[in-house]
Amino acid sequence: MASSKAASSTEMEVNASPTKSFFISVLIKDIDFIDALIELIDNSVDAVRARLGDDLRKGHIQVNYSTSEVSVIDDGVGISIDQAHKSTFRFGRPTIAKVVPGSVGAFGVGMKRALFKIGRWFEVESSTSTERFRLPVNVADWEKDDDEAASQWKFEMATSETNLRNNKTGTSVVIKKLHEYSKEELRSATFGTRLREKLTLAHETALGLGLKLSINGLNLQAEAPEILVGKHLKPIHIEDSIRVDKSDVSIRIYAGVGDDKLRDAGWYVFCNGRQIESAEKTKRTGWDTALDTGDKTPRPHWQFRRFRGYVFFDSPASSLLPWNTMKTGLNVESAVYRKASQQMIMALRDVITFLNALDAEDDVDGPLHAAIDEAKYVRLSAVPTNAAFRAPRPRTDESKLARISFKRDPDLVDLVKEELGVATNREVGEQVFDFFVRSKKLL
Amino acid sequence: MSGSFAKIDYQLCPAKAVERKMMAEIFSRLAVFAPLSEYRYVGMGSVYFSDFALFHSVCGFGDMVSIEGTEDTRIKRRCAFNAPFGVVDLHFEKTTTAFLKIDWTKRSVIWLDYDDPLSQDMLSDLAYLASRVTSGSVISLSFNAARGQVRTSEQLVEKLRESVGPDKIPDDATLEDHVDQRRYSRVLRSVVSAEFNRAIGNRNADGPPEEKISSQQIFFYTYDDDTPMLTVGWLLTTPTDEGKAKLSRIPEVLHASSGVRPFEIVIPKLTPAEMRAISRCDATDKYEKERSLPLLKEEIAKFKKIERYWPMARFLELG
Repeated sequence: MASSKAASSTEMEVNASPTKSFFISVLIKDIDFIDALIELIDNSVDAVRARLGDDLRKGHIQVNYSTSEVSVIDDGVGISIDQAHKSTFRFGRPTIAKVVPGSVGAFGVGMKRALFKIGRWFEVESSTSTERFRLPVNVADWEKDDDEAASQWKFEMATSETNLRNNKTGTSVVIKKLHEYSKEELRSATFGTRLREKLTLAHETALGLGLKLSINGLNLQAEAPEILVGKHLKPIHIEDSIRVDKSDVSIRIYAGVGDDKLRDAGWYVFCNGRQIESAEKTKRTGWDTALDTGDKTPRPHWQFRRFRGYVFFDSPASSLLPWNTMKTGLNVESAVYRKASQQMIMALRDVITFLNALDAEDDVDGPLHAAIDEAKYVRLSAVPTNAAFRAPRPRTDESKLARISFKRDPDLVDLVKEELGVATNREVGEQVFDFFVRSKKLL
Repeated sequence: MSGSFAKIDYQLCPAKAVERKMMAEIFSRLAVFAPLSEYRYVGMGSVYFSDFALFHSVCGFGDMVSIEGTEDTRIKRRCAFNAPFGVVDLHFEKTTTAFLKIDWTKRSVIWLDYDDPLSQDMLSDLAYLASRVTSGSVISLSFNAARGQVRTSEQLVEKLRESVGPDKIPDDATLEDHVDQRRYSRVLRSVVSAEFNRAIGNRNADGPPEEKISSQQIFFYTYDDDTPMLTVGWLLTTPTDEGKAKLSRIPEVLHASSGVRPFEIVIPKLTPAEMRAISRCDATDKYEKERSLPLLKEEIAKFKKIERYWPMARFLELG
């Protein structure tokens, strides 16, 4: 066998590093323009929360857009020069980077991906109480400079100042030279509405805590989720905590009923206050599997249109939360979701049992319909904990019931009415009868 | 479950009675985890409460919960009338609702004793319990395993697709083309095992090692009183309790089963007098006496297999 001299390691190596333009095209491929803009706003919400904690009334984020420029300006903590040097502008979060506890931004790709998605020129300007920097990037110039290895990629600051005093903190992101698709989206007559709707849903919690978020000068209003609660109708409210990778994730599950709108029926899932699913009613939240009601295709049938479920996952370790990298949907493979899903399915089945009974109740004056009619919408935060859904029992077939009628002193009847908190003579009779049955332990 | 009150007097189901006594024997071995009086038994007592009566007297469970999803007043009153020992807490609601209310931090022995064929709802109940119950608990599931018209693997797959959904069909469903009752029961066990293990896997996902649940199947019975039935049971333990699980030596019980082979409870066709005669044959004169009995060897063998669990005084309430 002929012997050959071992080649030096550099001779054996071939160049496999990505070109910058290829890298960018892959990076931005799977995100929509509107979601890219929301990513930037997410970062701002995190920054404001990092500065103000749970009282965001003094926080303000301004989003402005036209077909030539998009900007997101916040008064959050700001990015320090050290952070900017080491982590903020890297693609992917280096392991040394600090994560804001309970934050939305967790994967370290969001901001850069969003910037590249929206336009070909951007500038990030940020101030902490002692430092300030400005970093403009002309993407065309950056791409041209493609002879260095990916490990050497960098952006350059235009200015940086240190040792400032009482500097006003915050970050401003401005993007210009917008892509054609960005301009098209921005020109769309429905863009503003869609953006407002998505942001209102996604930042429900932050808006509820008083954050001022304005789009082209118009403030967004918080719409806190609500569920029907009545004297005889109590939704499920379970609080639990799951330990994963040495961190705790707290879980709040609410399940009950709302208006009969199929479009709104399903699960609403929140991670650290950001809504990632709305009206979800597929297999991912237990629908197909949980709804074996004798029908061969258990799907969200018409009778389930009143189902409303809300799940809140909160943790300082935001990377453990069950969201995908774009924070736009559930990651059903995540450990936390795998652990929590069984409780969600059980809660769903419990409410579905009621909805099936409601569907079977022919009489619209029956006790189940009546319980819904007298129920009122209550903010989730005001719903007491309750392990299982509570509703009246379905009435047994009317024709099988016995009628009792009798007369009593009207003053006394009124007194009993008051005591029982009911309005009609019929209810007085029924409740007094039921009281007797219970007290004699006949049932 | 529905309407079973009218159909079945559980005391007249001999194989079921044997199964109960076998389960009681295994449950008794849980005493290594905690005194059984500190356990809770969760079952579906119907109006007969045969399991409650037996487990209370043999195992001494101190806290018993019976779940009955009926709306019928008369049946509710019958349940209340028949509930033995005054220790049974009656829940007249669906298992879903009851399970959500029960505090599962207490060690429990649970028997989901359905009369119906396997369904998605049963699998959901099983998965929920697997995700909740504490170490040292046992979950058992019984259901009707009648195969109906199913004779081929194709028909079997079609049937499972309808009853539990296409994603719950195990690989062994198509292992052999011919499906007899024995194969049918084994495939059903695979379905429930897979669902149980999936739930345990989810529960353990990235959790702290000290909370990691390991589970072992401890029994798998099949029997046929008037329709084929099957029962599977699992013991769940955390690492701290694994030593106790070993100490319980449940797998050494003759009728324990950790795998795909069931313990088949077959009731011999013998008269009480014949059974008594077989029982009287002791080890020394066994051969001689047994041979003198006018009985087939197979029938004697069947009886020997279940002799200890045969309800000799089966019309007495305690089984």
